[in-house]
Amino acid sequence: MVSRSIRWGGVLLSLALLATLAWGFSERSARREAESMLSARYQQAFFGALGQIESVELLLTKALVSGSEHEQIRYLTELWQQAFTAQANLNALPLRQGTLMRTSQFLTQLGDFSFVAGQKIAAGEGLSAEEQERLEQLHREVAALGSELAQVARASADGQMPWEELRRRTNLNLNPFSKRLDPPDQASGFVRIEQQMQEFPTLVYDGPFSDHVSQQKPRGLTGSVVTEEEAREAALVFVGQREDGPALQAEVVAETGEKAPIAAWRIQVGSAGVGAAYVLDVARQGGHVLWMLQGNGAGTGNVNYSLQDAIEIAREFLEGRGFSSFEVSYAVVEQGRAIVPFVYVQEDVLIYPDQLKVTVALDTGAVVGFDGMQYYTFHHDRNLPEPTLSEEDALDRIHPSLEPEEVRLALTPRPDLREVLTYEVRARANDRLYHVYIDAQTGDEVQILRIIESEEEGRMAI
Amino acid sequence: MKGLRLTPRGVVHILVWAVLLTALLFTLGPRGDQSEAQGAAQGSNVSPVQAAAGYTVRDDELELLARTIAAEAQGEPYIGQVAVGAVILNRVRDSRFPNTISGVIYQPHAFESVSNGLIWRRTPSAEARRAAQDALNGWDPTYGSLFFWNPYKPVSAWIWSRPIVIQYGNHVFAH
Repeated sequence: MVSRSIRWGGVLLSLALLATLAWGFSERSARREAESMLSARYQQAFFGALGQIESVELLLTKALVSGSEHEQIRYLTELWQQAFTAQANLNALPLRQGTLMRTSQFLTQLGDFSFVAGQKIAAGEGLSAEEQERLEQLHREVAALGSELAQVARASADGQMPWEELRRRTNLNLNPFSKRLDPPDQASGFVRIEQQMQEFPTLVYDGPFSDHVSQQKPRGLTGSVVTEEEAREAALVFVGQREDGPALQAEVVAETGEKAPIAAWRIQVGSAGVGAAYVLDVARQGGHVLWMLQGNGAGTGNVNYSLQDAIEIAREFLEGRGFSSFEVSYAVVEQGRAIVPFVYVQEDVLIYPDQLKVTVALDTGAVVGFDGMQYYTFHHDRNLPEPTLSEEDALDRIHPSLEPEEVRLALTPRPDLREVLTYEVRARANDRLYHVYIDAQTGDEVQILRIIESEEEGRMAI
Repeated sequence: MKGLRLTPRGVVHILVWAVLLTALLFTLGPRGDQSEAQGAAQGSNVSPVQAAAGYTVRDDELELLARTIAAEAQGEPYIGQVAVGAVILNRVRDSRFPNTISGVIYQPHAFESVSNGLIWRRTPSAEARRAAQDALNGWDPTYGSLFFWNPYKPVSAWIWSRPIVIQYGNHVFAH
């Protein structure tokens, strides 16, 4: 009996072993197939970036020697697209986080700078000697980047980059049992490229990706430094104690670090066990409430208040907190809440950089959000210039198919944060509403917004 | 002591079960590689025109943002969820990162939940959607931060070298 069961056992064991082997082989080939597919995507991205960087180099030389303005504009615009696509491709490579940050910045700013240069030529301004010199400098830098990348490509003898190896090494970061948390990456050559790019100067120019745009310091935070106690008091006053409601308490739950752009306390305001709490950030400078949020707003999904009611509630909320001289620009309903932006008005001019936002839940009619960051970043005492153009001049400049409905002065921010005094012309064409902005000094059209209108959902600018 | 003796049949039984269980475990295990392949494929499709125009956010971008918030900030307070959304949008605006929402989210190794596929296994709650919407409307509880991580988990020394802005909930936010 024993020998028989051993025999059967042996057969079963062999079958199980065979099944496991077969399963193992099929898994292995499936894994290999997946790896090759993935590797092919990475190869495509890498060689895509290499090709695009080479064509950026070529287009830049052509733009530098072209004697025709419209050809120059074409080269610079095409270059902008190529540089952005190269950046996207490099960022699709499976490298450790942060490996190519400076290289990405270089490509974005190179593209952005070229686009702005193209626009200047198109506007008849031409390029200054300094800008011309910048383009030549950028050309030397992008040529260096291209040859470094080509060298990385040549480093792999069979033409295929060791993506799997790179991926595995970067994955060590996620493995809690691994003691080698920071594997050296130099084999890839990418680190060397990044180090070289660090040595190039960063660009300050008139585009949205210029360094001065991201390093904006708040100008509107005025007043003296407050204590933590005063900040908690300010938070309580801002939320507002209801006479019939439970007593509110304010508690500091976090604080920004030394290296944060704004020193602020994060304060939670609520009453023990009743409803969701409000969270507010209060600035140390002046005790201003930077923003407020309450996460439970419109949690029921019922709509008991109209958009018009919400706008009134938002206005009352702001006036009760000392924000007068604001106008509603447009408002939208999203997921049971109304988002109402307010624009500061000075001498009857709309100051678009100085915006506040208020969110009202349409189920309870409660204010569940306030955002003053943009206002506190840009607000300051301004001496508004006198327009050289009249309203009639501005209306003459808009496209003949537009039917103007309303004209007024507005201060609008450009992508590089420069503020331009414009005429805001609200006009219709084909039953669509547009805001057209005409520079009040030069008469140039600087921007068009299309306003999406809807009865229940309000107006939204795109 | 008879019950403890191992008969050959017993050994076979144990072996067969062990093999079957191992096979089962492997088949049901996570498929990180495949979700990553999907990410890489979608991430490389970026149009520069879209990036330069700023935010005209499509519904599918809102959904993707909400999904990433749901996966990356699970169990975090509401402000912590808005903060994760804000970091993603700060990256879109920053020259050192991809210039679109999908480019940032699918960047290889940028988000753990994209690498391990968690982002596809969870349907975003209404709360995560509201958090995504608030981040898109400009609320930024991170003051322009570009990174966040859980300080109680091992992460690279490099990331700890970033200038820290604030710690809130289970995340540290940094520039």
